[in-house]
Amino acid sequence: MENMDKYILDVLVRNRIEILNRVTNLFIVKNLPVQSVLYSVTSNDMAIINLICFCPDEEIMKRIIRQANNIVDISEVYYTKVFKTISNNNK
Amino acid sequence: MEEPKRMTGAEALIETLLKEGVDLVFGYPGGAIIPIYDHLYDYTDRLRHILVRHEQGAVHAAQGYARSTGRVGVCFATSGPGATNFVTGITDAMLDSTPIVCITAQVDAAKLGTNFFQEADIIGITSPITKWNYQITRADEIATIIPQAFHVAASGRPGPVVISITRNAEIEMVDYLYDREKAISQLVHVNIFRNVERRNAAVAKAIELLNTAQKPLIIAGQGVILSGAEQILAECANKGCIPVACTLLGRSCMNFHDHYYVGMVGMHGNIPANKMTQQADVILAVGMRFSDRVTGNVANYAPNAKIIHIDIDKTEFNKNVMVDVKIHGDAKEMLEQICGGLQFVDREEWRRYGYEKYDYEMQTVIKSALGSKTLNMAQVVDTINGHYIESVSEKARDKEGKDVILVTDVGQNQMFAARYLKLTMKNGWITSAGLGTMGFGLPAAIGAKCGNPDSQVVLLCGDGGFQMNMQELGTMMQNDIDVKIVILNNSFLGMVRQWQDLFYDKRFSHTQLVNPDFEYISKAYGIRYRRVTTAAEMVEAVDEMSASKGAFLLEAVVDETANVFPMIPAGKSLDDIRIE
Repeated sequence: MENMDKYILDVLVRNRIEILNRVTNLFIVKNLPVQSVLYSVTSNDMAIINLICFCPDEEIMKRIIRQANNIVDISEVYYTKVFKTISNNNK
Repeated sequence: MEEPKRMTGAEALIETLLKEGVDLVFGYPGGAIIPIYDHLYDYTDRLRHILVRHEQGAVHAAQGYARSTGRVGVCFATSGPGATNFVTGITDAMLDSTPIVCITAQVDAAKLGTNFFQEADIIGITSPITKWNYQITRADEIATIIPQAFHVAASGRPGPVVISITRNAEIEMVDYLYDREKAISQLVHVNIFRNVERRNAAVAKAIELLNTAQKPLIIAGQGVILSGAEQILAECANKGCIPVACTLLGRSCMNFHDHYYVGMVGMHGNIPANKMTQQADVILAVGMRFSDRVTGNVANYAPNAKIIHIDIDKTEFNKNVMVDVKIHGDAKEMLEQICGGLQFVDREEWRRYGYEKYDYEMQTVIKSALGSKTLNMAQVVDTINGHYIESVSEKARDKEGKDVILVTDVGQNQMFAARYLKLTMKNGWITSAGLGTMGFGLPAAIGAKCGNPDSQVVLLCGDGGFQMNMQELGTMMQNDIDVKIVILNNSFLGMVRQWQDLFYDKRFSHTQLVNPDFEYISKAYGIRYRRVTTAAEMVEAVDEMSASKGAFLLEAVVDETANVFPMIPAGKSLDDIRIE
């Protein structure tokens, strides 16, 4: 994960079994690491996936967002770049 | 209002297929799909089933059907091995944007995940290679999911959809009511053009760039054919005096004889198309994706050009090549808008440059090959042009639809055919481009013939690719499918041999084939056969093939040492084109 920036992704999806597989596949095919995934079902047959991932280049990240937007069953996708991570090591 | 009808899930599936306009499926039965086949037996008058010899054949045939008719191809397979045999074809359809719906059976929902007999997680397997997939576990889902599958496969950028139906859903009873609009309204699908103003501005910018350009070039891809924009493309070329090149899949989007057609781009493309790409100052790319086989080394691709990119899939923008103007929309609509603003600019010199390069290619590459004493691929393609396509087209001049559909396999045969076949808009053109699937040709030709019974279907394939799905000759025999097969037999895996020859010190590692006697094979399947070894015999044989009714297998024994030129070595720029 060296030389990679950290991103937080929020994906609004139709709640169905296979969709988490499709979202994580976006990273698997590019061999990019995912640090954390949170899947939360909302009341109206939808779900929100919050995902923390690493990516070497923002252009690649934008491409992933465009690909995510193309997936059937995905309604909306947002991403945030994490500029600074606060480390506890240097107290 | 229509009342729900009580029936089994399997019957509901077949009813839905009929309501979606399906009249032909390719398939292969097996344990878990028997309930569906049992109902299919009652529907033989309305739903024709072609029994293939291998599931891969079914999915390629569905592709051939979809590509030649513009409708969604449908194929059936059972669970486990049946479903996994679909995988290559599904991937091929994904890369070549072909609308197909693959219906596979699955074990009972209660037994999922228990390593049941013939169980494979086909939803997990096909997740990265489908546009959409869904596992139906209850019969009441069928009336909703199947219309959604057809909608997803055909809308936007087309692609494959896999529907896996568990056995219990096939046999359960259900109150069936078909309501397409309601089903589709439940889909969450974002393929909409959100910002029309921004798109209009992009179109205006594109028109301005094209009108002020000195050396513009249009590169047309399969998107033109998928959206039916062939006529408007020709109009754009005429109106603005802009030469048109095409990609491998877009080969039949323009008449070969058209004033403005300059050939195919890419690794094995024509010299004028590639040279003009490098010289152009504005490139209008329509419905193509700048694949690595088209661009060569991206760093040196079209160094002087401002690129305008029209695509229905916005993930294609800036993926391989950075573009200057992005137009997200349907090729036909966008070309119509652009055509409205185009002005005629005299670019005679630019067009003459294309002619000169074409003449050069003819002199250096083709002329010597045509004069050669041993039969070679250039002579075969030339004979098919003169003695088959032209004569059949002449006879079918007033007929609606496609006259000749040309199908190729993958390799040297494909590249020769793509460059020199004199295709027109009335010809169909089916080949496997993105995935380069050897063995694609024969089943795809069968699918094309089933979808277009009035058209002549010709398959050009190599000896290697033919033998990969040779079992489908049985499908042809059983269903009396009339496909003319031309095998270019050089007893080698020709394209790999060519790379070994040029880049691996002529170390021909495991590319030589010891072939069976194709005469016996054709006899076994009741297909007429002829073997030729010279150009003169080839002419006679093609005339015989043209006159004969029913399937025909023509084996052309060609020079095994021949390579396909011009070619651009992998990773090199389009400027490094090799002609020997």
